[in-house]
Amino acid sequence: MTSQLVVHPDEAMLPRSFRLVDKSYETADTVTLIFEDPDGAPLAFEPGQFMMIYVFGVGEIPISIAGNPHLPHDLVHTVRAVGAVTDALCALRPGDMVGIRGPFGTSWPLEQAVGRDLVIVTGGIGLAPLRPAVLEALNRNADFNSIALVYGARTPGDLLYRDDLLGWVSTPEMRVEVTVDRAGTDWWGDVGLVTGLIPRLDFEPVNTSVFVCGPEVMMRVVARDLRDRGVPADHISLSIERNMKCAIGFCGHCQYGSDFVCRTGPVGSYERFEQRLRVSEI
Amino acid sequence: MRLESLREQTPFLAGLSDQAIGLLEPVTADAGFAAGELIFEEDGPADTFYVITSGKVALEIELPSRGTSVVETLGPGSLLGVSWPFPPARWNWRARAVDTTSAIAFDASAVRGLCVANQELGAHVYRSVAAEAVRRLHATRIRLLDLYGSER
Repeated sequence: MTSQLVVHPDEAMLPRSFRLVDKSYETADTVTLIFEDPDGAPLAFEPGQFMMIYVFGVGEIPISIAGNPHLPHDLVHTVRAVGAVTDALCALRPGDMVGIRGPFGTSWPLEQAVGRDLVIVTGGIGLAPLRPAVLEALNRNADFNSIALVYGARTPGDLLYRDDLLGWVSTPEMRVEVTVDRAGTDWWGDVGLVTGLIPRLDFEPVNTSVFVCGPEVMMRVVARDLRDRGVPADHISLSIERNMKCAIGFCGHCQYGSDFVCRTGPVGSYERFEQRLRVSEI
Repeated sequence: MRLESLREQTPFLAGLSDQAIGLLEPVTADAGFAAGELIFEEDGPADTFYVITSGKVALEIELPSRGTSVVETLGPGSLLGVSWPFPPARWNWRARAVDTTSAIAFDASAVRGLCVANQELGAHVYRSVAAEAVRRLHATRIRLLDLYGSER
């Protein structure tokens, strides 16, 4: 898939117009938006990559792709309203146009996980960048020894992709564990930190690939627990979020130590990021 | 020997010698709870603690005008109750079975007595309870950060 996704530098800064065709509310402040090319052209991507989305007259921001890699005519993004541009994105209505650039960045190393146990750990809106990887893993589940998803959220009302979750819980191809930080007595799942669910999973540590996406502190404690359990550091992949602007490694806004996250990230190995995850200034 | 078969998958029992398992065995009993059944009450005497073997248990607290809040759930292999070794041996939370739940019940008073009489057992039991309390404290501190909340 990689070869067809390279964006030529001359074209990388030129937005294409996409139209919003569907909008659904995940939570009170989070929406899933589906865009399409008005000419019907597909947009191929790899799980984990991101797009630069330009809301005309407001600004441009990086947003991970949350759609199914096998449905390249639907460009899917899940957006939480946390600032001017995301507020404007969440306020879009079907028919509205945006500018898009991309896809950019590295992807979840699904090929490296072939033949291994695959454990996907995510928290909060971190499920959005991992949703394409989950869909792809399920699509080719025979390639993996086992697949498990561990998902944490603030409350049951903050869970994303409820329809997906209901389907995933009932599929025999993937074990799904969901936990929240707090809940009432009407919640059927677990209450507690995501790390508390990992001991329930049955995987062979040295033959396991782990994809982790969520708040950096969560990724740190998850990775530490997995290392304690014997998963090699280079088998653990994280998605690092930084302030991408140009998305092609020129401007330096997303510099993270020796990396420009837009080029060498957002997905990278825990082995590479481990020391930097403890430094608050980068 | 109900404890022997649980030793490997239960952190509270893992590493115990055969002799220590033999000491604990007589002060245990099988326990079962229906979904929704109360197991112990906040402020109640911590006279029985449990190792969950199947099902799920919620630790709850009643919040005036806000209803019941679940602060943690515990599943198979978990130790239900960490307050029993320490004075005043009183539960700080209410425990309720979420699903049909099976557990091994331990007579807390008897275990405290065994820990005094047998130093090896005592060291193991208090170390296991402390390790579980530390794990829960760490997880609780992470949750206090409210990492999943949105920041503007």
